[in-house]
Amino acid sequence: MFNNSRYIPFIFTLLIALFFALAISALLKGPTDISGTQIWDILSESIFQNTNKSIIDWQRNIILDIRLPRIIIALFAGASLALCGLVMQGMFRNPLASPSVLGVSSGASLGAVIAIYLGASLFSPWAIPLFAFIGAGLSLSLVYRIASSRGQTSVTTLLLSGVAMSALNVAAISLLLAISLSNWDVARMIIYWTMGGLDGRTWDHVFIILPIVISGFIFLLFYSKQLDLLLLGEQHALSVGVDVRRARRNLLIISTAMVGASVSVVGGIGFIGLVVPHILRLLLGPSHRYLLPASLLGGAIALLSADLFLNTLFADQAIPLGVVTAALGAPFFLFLLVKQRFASGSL
Amino acid sequence: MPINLSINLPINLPMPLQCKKLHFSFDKKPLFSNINLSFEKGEFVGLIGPNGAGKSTLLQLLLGLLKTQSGEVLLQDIHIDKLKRREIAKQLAFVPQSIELPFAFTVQQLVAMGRNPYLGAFELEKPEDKKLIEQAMLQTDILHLQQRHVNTLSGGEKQRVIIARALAQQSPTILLDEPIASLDICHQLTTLQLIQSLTHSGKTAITALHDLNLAARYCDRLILIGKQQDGSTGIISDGSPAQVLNAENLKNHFSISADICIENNKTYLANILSLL
Repeated sequence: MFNNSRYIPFIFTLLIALFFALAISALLKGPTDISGTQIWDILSESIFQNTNKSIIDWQRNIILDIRLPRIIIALFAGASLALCGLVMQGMFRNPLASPSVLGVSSGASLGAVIAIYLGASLFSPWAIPLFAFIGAGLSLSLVYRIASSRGQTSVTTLLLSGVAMSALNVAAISLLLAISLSNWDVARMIIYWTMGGLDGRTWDHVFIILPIVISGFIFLLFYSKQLDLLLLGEQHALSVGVDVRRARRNLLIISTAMVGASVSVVGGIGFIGLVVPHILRLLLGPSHRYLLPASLLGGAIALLSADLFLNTLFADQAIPLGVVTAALGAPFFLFLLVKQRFASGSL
Repeated sequence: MPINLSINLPINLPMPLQCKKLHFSFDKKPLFSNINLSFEKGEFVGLIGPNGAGKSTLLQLLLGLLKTQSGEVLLQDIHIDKLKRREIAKQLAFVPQSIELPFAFTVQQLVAMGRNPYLGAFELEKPEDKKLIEQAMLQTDILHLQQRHVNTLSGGEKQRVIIARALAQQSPTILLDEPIASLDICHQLTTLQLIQSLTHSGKTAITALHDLNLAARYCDRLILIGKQQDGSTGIISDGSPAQVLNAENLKNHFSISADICIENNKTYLANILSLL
């Protein structure tokens, strides 16, 4: 579209402004009214360690222990999903790839459910993320292996094997839930977990997702040139000096870790990984030098605005976050599918 | 078309590219056995053979894109498996056959990718890189397209962009897989002339080609790949166009007959007829 380098600073300014505007409004927004100045006092108290007598304890608890972790998790989960979508689209050279479409998110969910079912989650807060990581990794490598042969990735096979993988993962989750219904404690935990979302998330969750997403992002920055080259195909990338096997393996590990982290904290939230990188690619062009930081900001913005949207309009109904992102993302996915079909004549 | 001949190549190099006792089988079917080839500096080598003979496969073996079962590929006398891809890329550039460019890079960005082996993960192109990129675009006559998106180009333009990318790589050897297959006749000639001028200034070029007349006209040396008597694929003939393009080879491997003419030291085929 209009990917002129003149627009790039403008788009980044816009993204950063939106990012902060949304984070601040999310801090202000909640079922109880806490004024901006009070929030400022609370934050500055905890940052500068100066005791402020005018702060009310329950307000401090709401801001520091409920709203702040919720916002941070929303930002990082969204960022992580968008970054993973970006990386997968680049690796598979296909704008339709994303963690949810390729069955990676459901693989992470299955891993997490297995962790709960086996009781591993009771021993360590890292059990769910670890199992989610393994589930996501197995799903992604299986889909990848099925879809690529001799350096060529077939779009049809990729999407179909992603669909099949998702179906299999979802079926396995249902099976585990059905088996565990006799043990209500476990079943309740599984149901609660599969609903996902941002409610009741604490600093423990922040400490799971924050380090993984930040270090993953830094790793990805090192691969920004190689991602550009991979977009041209395996033979091109190899001939200009990319160790394709190694790059793919590392990118696969990084994106799986990020999907695992975000799914284990907020559950399966679909389509952010598909929609955000795609829109940014239209705005900024295909260079990952710009797309990586932009996806970080864009994914954070997308998930936080979906959450704000729910909190503002449907505060009384408990609508899962994934419903909003899917309601917006699924039509977009269909649109892309039709567009690509018309562009290439076939899939 | 202006052609800039100033290429900076180190002098007195060992043999740019060699392969010794190469064996390769695909799906357990032996495709190549005991292939020995060496390419000298400044040679323009044409790889010819019927469809499916294995021209692309041989190029990919030489590039290390496919792993050989045994034997070795040597780059400047160093085993290719001992080199990192970045080091290989400084020695060997490759123009692949299929060009599918679904993402909207500009021509300039794509040609700049040829500088990748010389730049670090966060390093931007230096002025001398920019100069080489521009020179490569000039040589391939795509300078006027540099701000266009590659997914909007015609097949021939895309092909020239990929060749420019390979030139920007500044490698002593360049491998090309059917570089003129999607070009019109004029650009076929200018592309081959360009490759020829590069070889005159010291680059080694190995090109898979279908058009025997063009191959004979531009290449110094032709290598014919085809089915051997025992059924396996191998090198049938290796030498000057006049040596390789003889009636027997044309009949056995291309199923054609032709009048083989030699004029001004150049071989060409006339009255080509299918024998099928």
